[in-house]
Amino acid sequence: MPAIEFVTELPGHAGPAWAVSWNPCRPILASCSSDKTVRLYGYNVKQSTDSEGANDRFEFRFLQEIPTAHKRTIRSIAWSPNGKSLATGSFDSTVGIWEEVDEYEGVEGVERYQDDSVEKEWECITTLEGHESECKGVSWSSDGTLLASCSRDKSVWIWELQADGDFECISVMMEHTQDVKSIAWHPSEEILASASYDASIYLFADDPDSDWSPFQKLNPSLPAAPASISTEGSTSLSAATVESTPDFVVPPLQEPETVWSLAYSPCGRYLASGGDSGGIRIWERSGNDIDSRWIERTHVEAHRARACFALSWIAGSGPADGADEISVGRLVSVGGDGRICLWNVAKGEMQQDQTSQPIQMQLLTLREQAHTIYDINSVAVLQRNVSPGARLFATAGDDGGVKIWRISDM
Amino acid sequence: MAFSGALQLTDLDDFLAPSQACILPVKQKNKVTDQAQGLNPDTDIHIDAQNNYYEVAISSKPSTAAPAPTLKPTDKTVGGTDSVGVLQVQQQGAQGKQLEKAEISLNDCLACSGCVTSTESMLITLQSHLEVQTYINAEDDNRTGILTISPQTLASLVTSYTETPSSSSSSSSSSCQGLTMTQLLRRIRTFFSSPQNGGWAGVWDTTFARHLSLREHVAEYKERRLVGKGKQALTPTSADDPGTPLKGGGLPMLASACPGWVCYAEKAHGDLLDFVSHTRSSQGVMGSLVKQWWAAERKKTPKDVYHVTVMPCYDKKLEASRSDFYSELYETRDVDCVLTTGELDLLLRERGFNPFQAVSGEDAHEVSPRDSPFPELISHSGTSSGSYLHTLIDALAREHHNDTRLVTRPVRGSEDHVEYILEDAATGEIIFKGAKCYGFRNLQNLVRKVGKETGVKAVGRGIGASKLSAAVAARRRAGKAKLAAGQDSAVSSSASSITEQAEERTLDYVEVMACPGGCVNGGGQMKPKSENAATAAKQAAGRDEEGYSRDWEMEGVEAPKTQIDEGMRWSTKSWVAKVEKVYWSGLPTPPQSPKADGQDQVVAEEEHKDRKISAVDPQIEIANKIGQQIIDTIVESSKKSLSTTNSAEIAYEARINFLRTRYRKVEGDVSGLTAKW
Ligand code: SF4
Ligand code: SF4
Repeated sequence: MPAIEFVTELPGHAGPAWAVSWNPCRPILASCSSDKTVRLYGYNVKQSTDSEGANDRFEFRFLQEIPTAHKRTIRSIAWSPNGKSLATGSFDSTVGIWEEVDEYEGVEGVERYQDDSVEKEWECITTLEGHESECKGVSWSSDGTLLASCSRDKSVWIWELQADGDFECISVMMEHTQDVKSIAWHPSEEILASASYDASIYLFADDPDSDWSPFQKLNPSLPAAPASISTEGSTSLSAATVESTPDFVVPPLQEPETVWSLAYSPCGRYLASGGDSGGIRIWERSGNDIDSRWIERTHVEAHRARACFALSWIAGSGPADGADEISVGRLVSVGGDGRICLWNVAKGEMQQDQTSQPIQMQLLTLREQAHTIYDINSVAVLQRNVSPGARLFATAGDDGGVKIWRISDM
Repeated sequence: MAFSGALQLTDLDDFLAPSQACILPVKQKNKVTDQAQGLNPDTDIHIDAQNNYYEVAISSKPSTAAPAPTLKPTDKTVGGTDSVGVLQVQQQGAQGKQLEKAEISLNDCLACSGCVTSTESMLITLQSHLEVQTYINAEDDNRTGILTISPQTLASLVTSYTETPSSSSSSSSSSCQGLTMTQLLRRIRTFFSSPQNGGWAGVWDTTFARHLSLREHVAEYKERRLVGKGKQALTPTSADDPGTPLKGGGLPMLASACPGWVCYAEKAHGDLLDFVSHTRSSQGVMGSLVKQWWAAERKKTPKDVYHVTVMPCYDKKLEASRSDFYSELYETRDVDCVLTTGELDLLLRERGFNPFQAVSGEDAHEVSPRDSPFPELISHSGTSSGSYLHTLIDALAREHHNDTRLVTRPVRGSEDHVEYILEDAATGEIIFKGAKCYGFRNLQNLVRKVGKETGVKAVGRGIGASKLSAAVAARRRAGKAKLAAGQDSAVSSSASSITEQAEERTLDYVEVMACPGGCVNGGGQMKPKSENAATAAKQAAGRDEEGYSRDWEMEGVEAPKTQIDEGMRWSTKSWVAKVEKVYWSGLPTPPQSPKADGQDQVVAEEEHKDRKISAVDPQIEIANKIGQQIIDTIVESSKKSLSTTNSAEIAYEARINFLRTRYRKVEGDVSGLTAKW
């Protein structure tokens, strides 16, 4: 049975920590906060002797702080896919792009910058202005050529990276009628999803004949089902959920609820969304065209009527041999109830009527009060394969803390 | 009903109408007397789902002497939603009294920008076709009515009247058959001049005003050119340089004809305001002409004239309510009411106008002086949004001592973002670099570019700007070089040198418009016929319980491919193309428009040789003459009222007052609110 083990805590932010992001190419973790700074941590793996890697140890150390000069809270951060640039989205309405430079780079006659041992500085290479109010999210497309941002001003912007390293605005989409809470790019295609306080999700794609435009509006409608607990579940898990039953009542959907979080499954066929009443929904793509419809497949209770603030996936193994069942992956969710949930998501056996395969979400394990009494704002699974036996993920909470966790299958 | 994209974005304070910060006292007509009598001092204001305000007694025990305040809708509030609100409160058994909504008419409003920048519903309702209906129907309104119509409006109406839904998909060759803009203007004039339709003294188009605006625009450009590039405004009164002849900001000059862009710049890019042209838009000049010149000619005060304009967008309503267009002295606005094209159509239909009813003299070549003191429908070749860029290019080509050549280059293959480079035909020296930049997205890139070129917005401004190192600059250069290398191989050798040189040259002028496609695609224009029907059907079926229309098509899983396209927010591209075609129909000179075929490198060239010798269009010549007479009159009359002896200065000031305006940066109040998430 999998378990969530605490690895370490990385304190340091002077205000609530809002987001964590792992550099996809280098051993760096970044976090941002209301204290207007970005903190960078390095890590390395002390490989254990057993080949499974079950006893690998992880060591984290503080690298440096970027003071940024954003005037207000930095709400979100995102590494570009090549790991070279970091985007910051701030409540001061701007987006900053940060790259590592050393003070002698570009100075005639000095070749020093090619030397990796030289301490480099993270500097703002450009600022993207345009939002009228708080920027809530930033996200890079899979190939790193497009950067999207969303804001309380109800708009979603797409910027394109130019050959000279500057950005050009290629679209401003104002379909949402309220604050746009978060955005997410599809893992391989140029499809952008946005989630809003207006209780809807829009999916955008580039129309070759004109411009970027929404091709579908997703309106959550399924009522929430209670979480199904893993059958082989440990007693502690059942105890945790049973004991918290009084809290665990998510009333059936009456009002449209804010959609807080979005995460595409690594295979790109599923989209998970987290809602204000604590439920998680899974949307499935019905075809392979860029504008294929997405269909709501399931909705489970997860965070006891507190908002599900963030979601992060671990890729599954795909179709199982000889069976209809497909392992979509595991999903980590965090929320305002201070809980971390680990889910198994699978597409079940073909139904008798041969028309549909249900999406099954099973609660594998959970961790209460992961940041004590505080809300957990962000979660990010480390996708780099650093240790064969364990999965790491990081969380950021209102306590200003960043915590590292490890999923181990025991 | 929507503003251009730029203003939609700045409309944040959706709950305030009028602004909370509105400085006007709200008069409470149905005074709550209980409180005055001290009977029920504890009351609370409640707001129901329909945004009605109620004053409700807090104390649960009923007030002793007076009967409990009864709940009844005030006479001011009408409509179904209000009664729903009342019903709800009654069901809750609460005691409450519905409060009257604050009502502010445009005449009270000071356009202090307290709400002008934040609520759209406000100004739309203040200037509606109902207000014009009221004027027409009023027995005792002695003001003289003047209606002025933009050429884009006429083009849109002609397209809408002549296009049948079935033919909308077929060839557009027949689209303007049977009705021209001139005919329509004259038919509307005849219609409104009849006493039962208000007996309007004048129904004119705004192209003559535009002509004056264009001329002033060129004059302003030349003034700014003296100041130089990227320079900020020099105030003539500055201590160390008193009486400098240089006025205004430097280059680039950014067009000011589009209020969508101007209001957005005031709100979001105050540091660029010095570059926004101070010349009044055609609507602004029309206001001067009607209220200052024409009224004086007729021995009327400006207040005796009721001036209504018809414009392609709602944004023009904001423009008309700017404090600069309000005269303290006469307590009147240059434009009293702005209708959109759609609202004029509504007004005409409600009064039974038949666009196909011919009127006498409608095909006459010249408008009779009895009908209009100005030449009618003057065509300015260039763009359908007013030809500001092309007029400037023509003027500069004409003043250049050599033959010139115009090179056009779509940016990123966009028809809405095109660079125009004017070169000396012999030497290849660049005389001028301008651009047309339409639509909100292109506007963003323009703002970035101008900010960078002028240095008012350094890249990385705000965050980490001081730390921007040589390294970043070096990376930029390297990237640029790579880019240029890539282009060179793709472009024919003759064009490549131009490209490189043009790339380096900073912008001198930009024709900025907030709407993709420009004014023919304004938010207040007629909707495509087919879409109209679809929308109507949708609305009939798709009202939700709150009375808001909902776009059901987008909601379901089975949503058809309804594309909400930023590029063409209000109508389809083909429809706009038809309006554009009608706009240019019957013109002596076809418009110059570059053919974008999807590549940055496409370079169109046009010899400007003939321009120098080509005779000026006689229509333009007449317009120039009349324009000069009017300016002279204005200067004369201001000489009488001013005591200064420096006549050159008076002449300048008088012209400035008549044809220019000012902008002010709007300080955002966003920082006052702190969002938790
Ligand atoms: S613009 Fe007019 S209505 Fe709005 S706050 Fe100012 S005075 Fe009041
Ligand atoms: S482009 Fe023209 S129609 Fe559009 S907002 Fe500006 S002035 Fe109005």
